Amino acid sequence: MGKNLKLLQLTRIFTQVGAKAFGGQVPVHLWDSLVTRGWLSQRDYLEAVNWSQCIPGCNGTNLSAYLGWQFKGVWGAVLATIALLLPGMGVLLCIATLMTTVSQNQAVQGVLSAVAAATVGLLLGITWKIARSTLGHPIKVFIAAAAFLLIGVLRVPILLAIVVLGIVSWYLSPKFKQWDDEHPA
Amino acid sequence: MNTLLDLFLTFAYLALVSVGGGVTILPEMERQVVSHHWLTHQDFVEIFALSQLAPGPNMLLVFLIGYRIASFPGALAAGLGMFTPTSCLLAGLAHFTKGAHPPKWVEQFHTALIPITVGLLAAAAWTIGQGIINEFYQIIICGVAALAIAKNWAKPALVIVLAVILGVGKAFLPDAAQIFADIPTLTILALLLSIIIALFIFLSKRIRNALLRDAFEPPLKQAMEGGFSPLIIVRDRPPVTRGTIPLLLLLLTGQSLALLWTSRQTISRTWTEATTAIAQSLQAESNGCRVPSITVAKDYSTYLQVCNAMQDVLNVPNGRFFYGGTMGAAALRSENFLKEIQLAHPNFQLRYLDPMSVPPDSSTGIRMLLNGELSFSESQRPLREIEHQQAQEWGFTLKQIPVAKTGAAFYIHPGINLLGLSVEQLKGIYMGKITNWSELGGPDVPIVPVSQDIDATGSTLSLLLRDVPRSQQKLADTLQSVRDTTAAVRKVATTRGAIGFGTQALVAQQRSIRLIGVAKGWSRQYVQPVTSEGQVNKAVLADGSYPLIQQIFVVVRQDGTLDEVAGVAYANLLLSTKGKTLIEQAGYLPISF
Repeated sequence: MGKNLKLLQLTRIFTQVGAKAFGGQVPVHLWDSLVTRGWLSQRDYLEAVNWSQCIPGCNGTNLSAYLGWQFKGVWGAVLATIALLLPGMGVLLCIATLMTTVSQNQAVQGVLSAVAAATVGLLLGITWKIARSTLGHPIKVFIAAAAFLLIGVLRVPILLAIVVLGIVSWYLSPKFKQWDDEHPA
Repeated sequence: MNTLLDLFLTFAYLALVSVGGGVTILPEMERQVVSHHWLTHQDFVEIFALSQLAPGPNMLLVFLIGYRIASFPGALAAGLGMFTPTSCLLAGLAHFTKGAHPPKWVEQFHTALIPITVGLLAAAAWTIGQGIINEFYQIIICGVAALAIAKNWAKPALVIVLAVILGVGKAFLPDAAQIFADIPTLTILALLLSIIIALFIFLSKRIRNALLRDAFEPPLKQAMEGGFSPLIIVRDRPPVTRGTIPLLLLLLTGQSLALLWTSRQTISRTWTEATTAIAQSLQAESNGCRVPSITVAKDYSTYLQVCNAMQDVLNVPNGRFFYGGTMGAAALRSENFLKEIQLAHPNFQLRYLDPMSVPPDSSTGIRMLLNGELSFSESQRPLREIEHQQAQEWGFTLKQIPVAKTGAAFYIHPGINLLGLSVEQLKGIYMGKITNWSELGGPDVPIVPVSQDIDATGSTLSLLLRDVPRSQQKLADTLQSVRDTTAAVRKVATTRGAIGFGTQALVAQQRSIRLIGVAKGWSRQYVQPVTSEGQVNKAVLADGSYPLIQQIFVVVRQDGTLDEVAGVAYANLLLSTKGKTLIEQAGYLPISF
């Protein structure tokens, strides 16, 4: 499974990625560290990302656990995951203590409201990007809208909504495939 | 339930349900966190916004949530819950599958979930957006950020940094009009703005070049960004068949169990509420009791019943219960009452607790109720805000159940021949502004106000002085203080020029003092508290013409203990037809629901 990677190097790589990757971009940065440096082949890395995204859970830690195990077994998985989380945890700790001491400061309030607005914008942007590239068939749009209504507006328990809509979507997937083949992007 | 364990399980559940990446779980996370009463919606959104400032995986925000709820152990519990189960799962998969890609149906399932993921992302934006966007400039920031991401102008990190700068800037430059009038500031601002824009264009291009190399195929590029889109299927390796079904079954079972566990309280509570409410209501009605529309207790197990006989009242607990409170309800504690209650429910024993060192009044009764010395208390005034707050601090609520109406009667030394006084005159007397009976058309005798309460916090004086601001409620220097109504009557009967007050039901039969009428405002239309036969004048209570009407309340501590049941039972006994008869006989006006 790729070249032999020492435990320390593995930890260092994941720490660096944990400090660089903003906004959930862990797979991208990890690609730079692992594939371009030659520790892992492109195909192997993509397989790992595939698994991380198909199985529930946070992308970043799924990836660190999977790759960590592949390189160095139990210790690899544990240390890689911890290393990935540590930089962010440190920053958050600073932010948390800062917030409690200066929470009434006007500048802090201004920052919070601006950043909150920006994060909503980020979410909307990502939604638009994915939607534009994946939602072709009109029924897919309908399913997306249904998911939004059920979970976002009506606050239905998420498992119920996913199961129901998932069954619908699975059932219709041959039709979707047919539509995608007929309408290439 | 241990908060840490609850945190761990909730976030484990959230991790196991997060199909399609971390951010899609945000609406559900918000729902769980708010319904557990850990954070408010506003707190949650603020924490999410803050977490975007830190590098690393998106779900680092759970550390912040856990920290906010239970400090370091909380952060650890939340983080362990969020990251450990799925990491173990992936590590296990890495071991068993050894590099092969997932079976076809897993990938098909993942592809089928894409539209749902899109909906979930929109739901996440909606959940966070609610309540956080309430200023115009925020909408602009939101729109620009969305465009920047959708059109690939900049990376998320840059957008966040710019938002921080803007936020700081806005806080220090609130008055736009003032700025535009000042040329030097304007120039500096314009310069800053152009530097920022230049950095923006320059840096974002660099970052883009660094991250998205032309060697990438478009599907790969898409796969890398955002991390939510479906993955490349590399088809030249055989799919794995062993081991995934058991793992998946484990996953589903774990999810269902976690879901049931986290909603167990809601499920059991809703079930209990629904079944007890229906059952008890049916039972009460079969007993001939009417259930008025206001329920009383928190857990629906005790509620108001209007029955005919005291025996018909349900949910009367067995045991000895201490009660106390205002002297004004003394007539409700007479032998008559207690005998009837004893007959109907022999195992429901009531003991009046006299607070030895302090005068027995409504406030004392409520205080003793709050600290658990009494099971319930009787009050002649409504509960005050501060008493509600105190209860809340100690983890329960107070409820007052009106059972009777009465009036605050005033009386004077028989030597003064006066028909009545107006409310304003009474206020003047007790605040020391009117000091001689000659000012009121009487003889030249100094007025001696007698009071059971020295600081106007008692039920009668607070009612009398309710229009006066608290800071100005200063009582007369000549005030004579007495312990209770009995002592007050005695004092007024023997002191020339004295005036006192007491509950109508208690003083109506007193012959040693002269009861006077009370008129509204400054008028002279005196309303007498007793009839010409010397009985309590109930008509003026019923039609509201008596200016100083008070209600007798049974005050109950809503904490789910037997005391609560006892208090409500007592109130129900008083509200029964038999109880109403006794209340009337005692000189009060009963209340009908």
